[in-house]
Order: sequence, then structure tokens, then C-alpha cells
Amino acid sequence: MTIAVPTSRRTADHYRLPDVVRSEWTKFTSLRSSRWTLAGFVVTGVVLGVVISAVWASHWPHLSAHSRANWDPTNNTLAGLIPGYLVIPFLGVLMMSSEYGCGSIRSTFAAVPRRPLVLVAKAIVFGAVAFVVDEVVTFAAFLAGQKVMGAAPHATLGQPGVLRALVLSGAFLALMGLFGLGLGAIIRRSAWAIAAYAGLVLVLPMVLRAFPGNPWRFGPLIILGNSEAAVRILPGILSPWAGFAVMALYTAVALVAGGVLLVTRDA
Amino acid sequence: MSEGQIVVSGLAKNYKKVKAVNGLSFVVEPGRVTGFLGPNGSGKTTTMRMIMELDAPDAGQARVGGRPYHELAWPLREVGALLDTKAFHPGRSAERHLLALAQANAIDRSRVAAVLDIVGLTSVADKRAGAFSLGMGQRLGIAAALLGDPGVLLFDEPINGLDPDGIRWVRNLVRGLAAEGRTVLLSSHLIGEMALTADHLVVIGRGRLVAELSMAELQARTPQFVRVRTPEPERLAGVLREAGIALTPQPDGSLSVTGADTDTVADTAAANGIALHELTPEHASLEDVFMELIHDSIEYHASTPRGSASAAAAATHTRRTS
Repeated sequence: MTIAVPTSRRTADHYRLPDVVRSEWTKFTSLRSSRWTLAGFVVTGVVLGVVISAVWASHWPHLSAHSRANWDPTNNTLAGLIPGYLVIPFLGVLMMSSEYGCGSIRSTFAAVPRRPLVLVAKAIVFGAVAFVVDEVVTFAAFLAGQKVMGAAPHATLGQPGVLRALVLSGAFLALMGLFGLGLGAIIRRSAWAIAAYAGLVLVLPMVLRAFPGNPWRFGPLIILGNSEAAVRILPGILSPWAGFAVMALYTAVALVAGGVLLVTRDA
Repeated sequence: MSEGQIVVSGLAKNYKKVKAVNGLSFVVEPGRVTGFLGPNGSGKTTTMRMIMELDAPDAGQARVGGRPYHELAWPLREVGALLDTKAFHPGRSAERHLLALAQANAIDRSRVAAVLDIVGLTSVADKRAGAFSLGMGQRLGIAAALLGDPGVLLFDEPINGLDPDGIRWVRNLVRGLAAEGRTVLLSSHLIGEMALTADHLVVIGRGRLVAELSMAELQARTPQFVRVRTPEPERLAGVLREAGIALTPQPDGSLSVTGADTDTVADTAAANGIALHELTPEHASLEDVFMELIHDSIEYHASTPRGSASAAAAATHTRRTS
């Protein structure tokens, strides 16, 4: 005879993803270094967005007709995301690799021996945090940046493509953070994983410029700077949604590979 | 009854070409402290890591309460382990470290304060764990092991870095946990420590099982002999041998008598009018017996001065007893 028991966290028969997410949330929020790094990114991001917007706007009276035709005030303010190109993926890497560096991964896997759950929980926590922080920077840099445009044309949230650019840019950067998390699970050593990120995302696309067929346009930073964060998209660049799908693919590959290696390698 | 048992069967693990663990089998029963004894590098830590499934074995299996570790419903509520001195992030406070572990297994928050109190870290609960001394780190590791109030406990060299007070505290804690009916596996390379803590011993060397016996059995194995000094050692040796009593003359002129107790030696000497200057019953040390047990399994015993000295001591006792 079975009796239907209302299930709650307390009466669950084994640990589940929400338990692990709670645990990872406590871990992430209890490190002063990650809190300060994110706060620093918000401040520098907004300041940078404002400064770069003001500098560009001051050039407006001298710009050629061609440059004026391609004037993209949204894109100018989103220069504020540039510090995030490094900060967000590095934090993603560290979320995994620092556990291997200090040995706490043993405590983590002792509590959660089904290791993929750990990676999924970290992805949920860090993905959510990175998404919120990135959107805060994106919107704050945009709103503040538009105030310093002076005589140059402004952008407003209501204009076509602007809201898309803001939301997708922040989301894209969060994906880059999750890509870093995957790299951290694959490589496990913080320094090497960060070097791998720099090689793949910063160096490789530059090398690809030498190759025919424009393969460099698949570089994450090219997509982010010229497609996601842009309202006027130049020819030869992936469309925002195609670019977002490409980054989602990179991220999925990194996370799946990281998850497989997490299971097959000794902790 | 498999409840709370740790069963290790045919476990093997190779690192590169080194066989760290090589066909190891043993059972750890609840309600007593099982000492996991072996020299450094004999495979104790690797075995414990395989029980926890942190490392995958190349052969064999380990079961806790009849199940592989990853099938435990709430691992920390069933198995508590101290495997590394540093299994925490240095930037996180002790309290947050334990809270994160508690949340992962839906362990009540109140347990965090409770175990911090048990290990005596309440006053530094909010301090960064990176600033902890080795001994405090060890206490935090023990707190994590106790967090889920588990029935099975694994302690790998728990007294490392502890001061004498801490060592005594761990000893009492471990004995108390076993007395409550829990399964306790405690590794050490120090037989003296085991003699004070363990009820049962699993002795390994070079990744292989050397002996599985109770502490009492091991103590019974320590050779007993009577140390005799006399001005006439040759004559006493002669009359004792005539009486069928085994002995070994020692370089300092004394005799080690293994075939009789003090009364017999004294009576024999008196009957023959031989004066005795000393008559002392002695035990070989547990270290000697331990070294004898693992004699063949120590990797480089001939080249390490400490090891070879003890091995030589064990060898003399072996000759005396045989």
C-alpha cells in the first residue's frame, strides 16, 4: 500500500538540484573577492560607457557624412561592457578552478557525488548573477551615456533595435561567463584556464583574420561588439540572433565537455 | 547486516606505473574504531578516496552500507569524512563553508553552529578560513565530517597538526563516536596512536593487506621476554638451556630469556647458587611488532635509517622468540 506524502524539501528522499543550487549560491555570495569584482565591474563599466560616449559625441561635429550615417549611440555607450570581457569569464573560470586549487572540490563532491549536478548548479547560480550584473551595466551605461551625447543624436529605449541590443549584449556576456565556467571544468588550473580563454577569445580571432572566408566573424568579441551591442549592423557581421546562437553553441560545448571530464577524472 | 558497514573488495588503483592500491579487501564494522594502519605511501589515503568515489578504482569496489557512494541519498548524513587538511576555500568563513555543505544535503542550519561548537571554533566562525592554523583547519574538517550526524566516519590522519590537547580531544571524540554505534575508520602511520584509539586494525603496506586483527591480538603478539643480569652469564645460560628454556645472550652481557617467566628464572638461578643482579619482565614495543608485520611491504626500508633501525630491532626480537 502506498500512501501519498506531500513532498517538500525536508521530506525529499534524496538531494536534488535545488539543494545544490542553494549550496552554490552560499559559496558564491560568501566570497568577498567575487562581490568586489562584480561591484568593480558595475562601476567601471558605467564610467567607461559614459566617458567613451562623451568622447565620441565630442567628435560628432567633425565626422564625415559616412561616419554620421553609421552613427550608433547605443553601441558607443555599450563600450562599458569591455571590462566585462575579462571579468565575467574569469569569474566563471574561477568558480570551478578555484575549488580544485584549494581542495574544496573534495568537500563538494563528498556532499554531491553526482558531479554533473554541481556543474549545473554552478551554471545556474553564476549564469543568473552574471546576467543580472551584465544587464545592470548595460542599461546603466546606456542611460547615463545618452545623457552626455551633447549635440550628437541620442538613442532612446523605444527606438527599433535598442532594447534588443541592450538585453542581448548583457545575456551574451553572461554566456561568455558560462563558457569560462566550462573552461574551468575542463582545465581545472585557474592560470591555464584563463590563458586558454585569452587564447581562444582574444588571440584566435585575430589569427583568423588572415584566413579567407571571414572566419574571424565567429569570434565572440567580434559578435558582441559589432552585432549584439550594435543597432546598425555592418555587412559581413553575423546577425544578433545568429551570433547569440553561435555563442550558445560554444558555451554548450564547453559545459558538456567540462561535465564529461568532471565525471571521468579523479577529483 | 550491512547497515553501516564499509566493505572494500579487491580494490586496486595505479598511478602511472605505481600500484598505489593492489587488490585490497577488508570490512569495517560499526560500533568500534577500526585503525587503518600503514607507513606513509602505503595507500591509505587512496583507499579512503576510493571509498568516497573521489578517485575511481582500476579494479574492485567499495560499498558503504551496501551501496556505492554515489547512490547514497544524502551522502553527508550517511558518511562524514576528513580526507584533507585543506578542503575549504581560504576566502570563505568557517560558518559559510559548513552552511554551503549543509544546504547541499538539506541538513538543518542549526547543525552548523552545533558542530562549530563541538570542534571549538565558535569564536572564529566568521573569520576567513584561510587565516586558520593547521590545527584549526583540521578541526574545521572534523566539523564538516560531523555536520550530517553520519553513521559512518572516515578520518585520514586526523591528528596531523594538532597540539597534545587536540590529539587527546580527537581520541576521545573518535572513541565516543564508535561507542554510539557508528562505524569509524581512522588512518594513521603511528601505531602508538592506534594503541590508544583503535579497537581493531587493518594493516596495509604497499597497497596490500598485511593483517586484519584486533588491537588485543596485536598486543598479544608482542614478544615477552625476561631480562637477566648476573655475574655468571655463561653458567646461568647453561643451566637454563639444560632446563629447556630458550634464551639469547645480549651484547651488554645480559640474557634475554624467552622461554620462562621471572619466577622460573629466579628459582633456577637460586637452585644453582647463581646471584642475580637484575630480573625484569619486558615487552617488545608495538612499533617493533608493527615493523615486523610490514617488514616485507616497506618500499625502501634498507635505505631509510629510521626504518632499518626499527626493522633490525624487530628482527632481533624475532630471533629471540623463534
